[in-house]
Amino acid sequence: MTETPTKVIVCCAEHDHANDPACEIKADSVIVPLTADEIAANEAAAAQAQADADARAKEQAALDALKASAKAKLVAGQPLTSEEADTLVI
Amino acid sequence: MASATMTLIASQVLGSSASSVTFSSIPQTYKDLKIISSTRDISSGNPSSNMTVQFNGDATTKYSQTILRGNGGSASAVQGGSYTYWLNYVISSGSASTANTFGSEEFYIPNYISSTTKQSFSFGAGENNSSTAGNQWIGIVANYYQGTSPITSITLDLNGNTISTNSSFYLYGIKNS
Repeated sequence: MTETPTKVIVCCAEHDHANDPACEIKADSVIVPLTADEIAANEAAAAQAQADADARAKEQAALDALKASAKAKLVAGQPLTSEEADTLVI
Repeated sequence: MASATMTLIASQVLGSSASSVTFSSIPQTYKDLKIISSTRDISSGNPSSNMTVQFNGDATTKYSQTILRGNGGSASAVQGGSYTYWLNYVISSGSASTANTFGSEEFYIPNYISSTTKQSFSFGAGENNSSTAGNQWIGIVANYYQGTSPITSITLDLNGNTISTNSSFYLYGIKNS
């Protein structure tokens, strides 16, 4: 059985949590099961975060390849492409 | 001469995994806020994850950032606006990293009770003994939030992923008198 995801809410107010009508959670902290909508939103966010991470990794790999190519061409005395030249710090 | 003080407002050490931690009803009696946390992501397959921060439940596009980050092999910078949260790139040790390692994070939020926009800096780092390049991260971030309401609640999560048991969160209030 899969556990229902939860969220933690902490009340920072200095009041009698149990008896103060202003306290929304009636305790120092509570653990609340996520609603179906919140679970769906989390799943979408996680999927988007993974897609973003994959895109960043791909971008970084491409940059690293350009840097390596630029270095090799500099050592060999060959002309760089403009993309390779852009990786140089002057 | 008045001396600055830093007071622990609230803390939370997770006894079980959770998707987010919210500090609510934050007292409006301090000048600045500071959040220190130690987290691990147990659902991401990546060696590092992103902690996201939202204020007052505001998920609109009022957040922007400039990020300088490095992973031990290379470094880069990115700037972006119209985000729906602040994000720190390096905060969590993902499930692909060494067991029982946690990332460390810190956010400093000046003038949180002001009725103007908010600026902040944050940093985070996740180190472990993996020999795989890119499995360690460190970063520093400049943050800007266009919300003009005083901050009364802060929600921290891992972009939809699950925060590990024993992750810890500390909220401090800072006064200058």
